Amino acid sequence: MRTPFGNGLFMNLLRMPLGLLGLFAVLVLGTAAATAHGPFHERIQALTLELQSKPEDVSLLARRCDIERAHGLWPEAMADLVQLEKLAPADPTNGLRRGVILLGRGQAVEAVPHLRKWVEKHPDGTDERLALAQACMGAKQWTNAIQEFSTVLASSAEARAQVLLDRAQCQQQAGDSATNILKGLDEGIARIGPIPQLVRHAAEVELLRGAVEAAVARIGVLAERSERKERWLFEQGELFRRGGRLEDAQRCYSNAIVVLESLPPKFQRSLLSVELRRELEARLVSGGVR
Amino acid sequence: MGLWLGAASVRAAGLEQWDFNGSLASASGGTALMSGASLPAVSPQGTWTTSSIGGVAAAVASFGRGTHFRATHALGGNGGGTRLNQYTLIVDLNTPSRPSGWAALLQSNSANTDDGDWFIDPSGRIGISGVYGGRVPDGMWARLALVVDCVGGTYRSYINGTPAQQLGGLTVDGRFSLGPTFLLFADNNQENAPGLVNSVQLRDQALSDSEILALGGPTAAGIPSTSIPPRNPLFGQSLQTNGGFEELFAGWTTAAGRPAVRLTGVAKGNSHGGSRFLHGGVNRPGDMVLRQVIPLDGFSTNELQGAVLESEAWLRNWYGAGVFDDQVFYRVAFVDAAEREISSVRCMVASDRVWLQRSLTAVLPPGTRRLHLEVVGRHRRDADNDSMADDLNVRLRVAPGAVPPPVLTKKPMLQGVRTDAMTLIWETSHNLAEPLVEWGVGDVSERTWTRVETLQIDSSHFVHRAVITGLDAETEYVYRVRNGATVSGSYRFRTAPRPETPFVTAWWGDNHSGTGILRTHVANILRHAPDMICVAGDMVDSGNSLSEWNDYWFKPLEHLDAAQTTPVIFARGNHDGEHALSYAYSALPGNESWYAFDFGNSRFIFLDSEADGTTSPEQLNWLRAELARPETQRAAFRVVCFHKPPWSQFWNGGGHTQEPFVINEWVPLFRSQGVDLVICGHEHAYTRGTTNGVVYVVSGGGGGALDTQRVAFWPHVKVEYSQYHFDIMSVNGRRMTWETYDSGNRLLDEFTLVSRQAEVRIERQSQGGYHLRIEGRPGHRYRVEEASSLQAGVLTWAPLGEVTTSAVPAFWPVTVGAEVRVLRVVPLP
Repeated sequence: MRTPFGNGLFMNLLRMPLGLLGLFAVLVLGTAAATAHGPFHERIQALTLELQSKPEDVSLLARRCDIERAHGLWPEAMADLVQLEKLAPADPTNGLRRGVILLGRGQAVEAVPHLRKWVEKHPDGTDERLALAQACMGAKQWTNAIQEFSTVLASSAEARAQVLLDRAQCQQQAGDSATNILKGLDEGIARIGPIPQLVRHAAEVELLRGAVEAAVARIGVLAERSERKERWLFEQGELFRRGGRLEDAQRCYSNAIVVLESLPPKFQRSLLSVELRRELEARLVSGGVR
Repeated sequence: MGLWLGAASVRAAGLEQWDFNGSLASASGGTALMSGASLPAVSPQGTWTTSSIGGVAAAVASFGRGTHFRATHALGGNGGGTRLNQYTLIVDLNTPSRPSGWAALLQSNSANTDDGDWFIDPSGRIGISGVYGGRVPDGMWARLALVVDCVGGTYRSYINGTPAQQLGGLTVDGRFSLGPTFLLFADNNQENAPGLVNSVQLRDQALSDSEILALGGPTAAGIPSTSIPPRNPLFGQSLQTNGGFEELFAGWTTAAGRPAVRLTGVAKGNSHGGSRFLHGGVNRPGDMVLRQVIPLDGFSTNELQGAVLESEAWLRNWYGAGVFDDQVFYRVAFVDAAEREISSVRCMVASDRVWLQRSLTAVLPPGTRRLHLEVVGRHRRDADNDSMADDLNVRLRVAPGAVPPPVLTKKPMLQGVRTDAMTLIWETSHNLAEPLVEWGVGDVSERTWTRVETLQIDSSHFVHRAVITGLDAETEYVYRVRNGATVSGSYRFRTAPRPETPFVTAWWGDNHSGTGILRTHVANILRHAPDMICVAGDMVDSGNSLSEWNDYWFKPLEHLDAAQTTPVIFARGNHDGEHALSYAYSALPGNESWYAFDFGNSRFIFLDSEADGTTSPEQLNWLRAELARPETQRAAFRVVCFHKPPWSQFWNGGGHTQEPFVINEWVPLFRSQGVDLVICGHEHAYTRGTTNGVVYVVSGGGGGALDTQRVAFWPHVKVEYSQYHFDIMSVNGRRMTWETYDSGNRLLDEFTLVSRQAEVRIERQSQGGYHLRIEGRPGHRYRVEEASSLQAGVLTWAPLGEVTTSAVPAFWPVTVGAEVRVLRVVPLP
């Protein structure tokens, strides 16, 4: 079955814990040899050898630049880009390259204008727009970032949870309402399914706006679908505890222990289970108060 | 110029000696030395003098730079050549200075028209051809020995009895063999030095390390000329017959397959030597094993104690290096008097279309009374078994005496998935100490396992493989490995679970050079207490790199003793691929390329996606048969793992969206035969989706650079991450849980599968009567069948109808009467 394929530019999103921004942008144009696969050092070497006899061959230079970019060799990629810009000043792809390299180097603010210029001329490029969204996020241009993420999600079947989570993060930073943030996350859940990262984030947002029951109910969806309910019961307990509902928290912890004890001995013996049990018992002893 | 004259002494057999006691005369009744000169000297220069050696005054010769001595011996030739091919030259020498930096010791060319053949180099090391070692002390007396064995191909130097250097690749009647005349201290381009010499001895034997050691260091009395006890002449001699197949199959028996001896240059290329070579068989599919029994009746038990096997063979395949092909290797089994195999040594597969030499070295285990020399050809593609061999040679060497214990270069890795056995592989730096496993239930001292197969990679990498059998299921054992005095730590393993026992397996793919990520994954994985670790290929970047296998695979898995306590198995990726090293460092089930096994209540099938149906219809045929097995169909879950996924969502560089042969050849089988879960790597990301009832997971986040460029939106894919991750699969009865975690141990994905196998019970209904209670996979269709006849032990089944189960059980009414009825519930595709 044929499907629509992504365009040339793509985005590498290293998912960082909430509160941290780790951005990594990689650009690939057309059929460039940049790849996460294969012996890229040898490829770079081979291109370098060729460039020694053809130092102004733009296509060789572009390929080497793209491979260096793909593997985070930023100084080398930028050096090649500077040379490319001298040899082919009218090539608009260099602007895109510059934007992505700057983003990869953590210079999100400088990256935004280059990426925006490209996206304005090529509005259908999903990967490029995602790069722009990441750059706006890195540059703390929250509203712009939200808009770009939303456009990507609206115009493609993008299903990576981290895109949805990044948008939600931007919304939080922008002071958007919990309702709106949850609306975005629920759109994602409807698209992808109730995968743990999205549901947990939504539960956090519920808790932050004081909707403890709603937060707990969201985790309940995960618990319902899961064979290993003990960890979700623990998380529900934590939500209750943080929401000031200590009795309910205690109930969840107790239920989690019951579930743990009903597991086959094999599963009870894992370090994770042992640590969870220890945590649960500590919570019960302390009355759920930390 | 001084003249050297002296009295002769009684000549010992096989020995020539000159003691420089005021004379150049032979001390063994042979021909006197003749002095000569080469540049920078124009005439020989020297004097007779005395020097203190070990506190005793010795009569010695002092010679100037460029002065050499022409030695003539009557030892004839040996080693099957016309020249002296196996000999030992010993020199008691003192070199106060080396004006050129070098000091030539031996020149085999009596005309001195080429480079010398044994030197002290500017750093004081001894050797030749860039291979130098040890340290000859400046200005001090040293006993230097050179042992040349052109038959065994070795050149070894010693300083005061201690091995200093070794070189290989010698040939009979080649450069380092001696004619009747040779030169001492000569070189053609002034790499010579002045010195003092007390004694020179030439023996027509290649002495062993212990024999050299026994000669000791320099003494005023010179080199002892006492005869070494006569050695069994069979030592150093070729023990096999017809190793080059010039006499067709004479001396060989076919244990499997239908190999042929082919003429050079006819259809399958040229022989390595002579005009014939062994071939696995044209239009003769199937594995090949050719064996020659080599009795060791000519050796006493004492002589065989600690003797060393040395062997070479030339092997090749039909396709080039790294290409999926048949595999050939050879092995030597050590067999006792009761015809039981004690242990064995084998070589790596020779996976190239050019002749490759493979060598074997091993110390004979106690009790060895015969050798089984075998050529093994594993047939894996097309109609021909293109496993080829030529010029096999097997010899024994005298026990070397004290040998430093080997270094344990890789801790034992578990690779067993059976309830009644466990496979271990470990590596040491040499194979001159018997490998074994010490193990037990409570203590390692309880039992010893000696049946070990050692695979030789090269002269310093020996992979030992042991399969300990006779174990109990789900039982913990403690073990350690031993090679002589070298012992590993003690570790515990547990054999595979019984069908009724829940189990946990961990998964990842494509760790490549991401060792930091992999170590993190390993630490996180162990917290889940897996019973088995499975990897979907690409454990290294280059499967033919020794250092990568060590640094990217073995060492990270030694973190927290992961591989020492949990069995690790893998599917072959395109990077590890079809390189000889990839197979050297594994001891997987089946043919190690595609295989299947039961684990708990599930069936695991591993495939090699480097071999499509055109390359290897054998794999495709095997897969069809495997999936059709009633036992496979009755398993609670069918889990398939291979490297290249049918569909890819992300691929840096673009262009790779699918693997056509997997889609065309394998995917239909997965669908029709009820495969539950397919796990792949290759794409460095995580994706999960279900199509036609089969869940496809790509788990490529083991450490290789992540794929982030989207190349497709395959509609069945629901969950995607471009993140490093690992997976935990837990099976508890009819339910399997899959969890994916990132490198911070945060849950990224989770899903549950219910077994297609329905759980069926007869229940009494509340209103009377009976029904079948059918608990199956929600949404799955089942057919209820009744046995209609039994003929020749085979039941014929007649369908009664179909049900579709949901989250609640389905029910099928049955009437229970006097006669016996046999019903079954079969899941439909």
